[in-house]
Amino acid sequence: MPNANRTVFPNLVLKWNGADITDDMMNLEWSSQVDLIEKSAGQETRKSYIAGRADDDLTLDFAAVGTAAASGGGTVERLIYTGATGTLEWAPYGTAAGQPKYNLPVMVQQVTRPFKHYELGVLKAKLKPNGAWVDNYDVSGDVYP
Amino acid sequence: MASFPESDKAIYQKLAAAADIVNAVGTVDGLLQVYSDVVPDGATLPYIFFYCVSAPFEMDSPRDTTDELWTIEAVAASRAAASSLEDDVISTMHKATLSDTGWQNYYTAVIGRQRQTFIADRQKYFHRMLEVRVRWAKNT
Repeated sequence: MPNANRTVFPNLVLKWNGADITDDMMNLEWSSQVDLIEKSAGQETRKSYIAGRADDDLTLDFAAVGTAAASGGGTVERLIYTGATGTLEWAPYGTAAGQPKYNLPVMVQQVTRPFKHYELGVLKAKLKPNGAWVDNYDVSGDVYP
Repeated sequence: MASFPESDKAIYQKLAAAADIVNAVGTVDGLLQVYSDVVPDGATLPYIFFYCVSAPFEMDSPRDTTDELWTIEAVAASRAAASSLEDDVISTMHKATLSDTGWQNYYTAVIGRQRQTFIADRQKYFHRMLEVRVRWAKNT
């Protein structure tokens, strides 16, 4: 493996319902997994499994924007609140033609708001799928045109 | 294109807008005795002198942000005068909001202090050095 091929995602883009919220994101984590259904039986001495339904978990951390409460907080806070639904689109390597594209309808399950004294406010939102994937590079090879 | 905020200009403007500081340090040749980086020849005690210790880009989000450490020194000929000027700087800078076009200053706090005293040519220089943390986020 002669060539290092690491990345720090300098061109990542994140959108909520098409609106670019990249600047105020601090972290995005996407976890994808499948349920396991045991298929071992009878005299078998070791368990084995088949794949059940797939599921996704997303955690989005974003900076709280210091806007007066009367106007509803920061831009991202007004978009992403408990119970809100929307499409989350992310481009880990940017939106240039041919780059991987991910786009998933989600609902906001939980928003955690720490209020640390004189420290940057970072909100943490837990997101769950709210519909079928629109674009998923891993599954269907979707890329930006 | 990344750039740094003009923190030195913003700090100067904040200090120069404080009446207690202006009255304490006075002017020499019409210039307020609040100096950035270098204290010029001819400065008279007391004066304020400040400089950047470190100013890294944080690189923890797509938005450009800096987390800067500045030292602001209140220098006077007596312990009492230095302490008084130090108090003026603290009341001016602690939890203050600085201004620079294109940037939002969301954190400014006095987070520590040091003291040193020098004697040169029979003149005592009482230094009250305040560590000031300044954090900026770039507007887009």
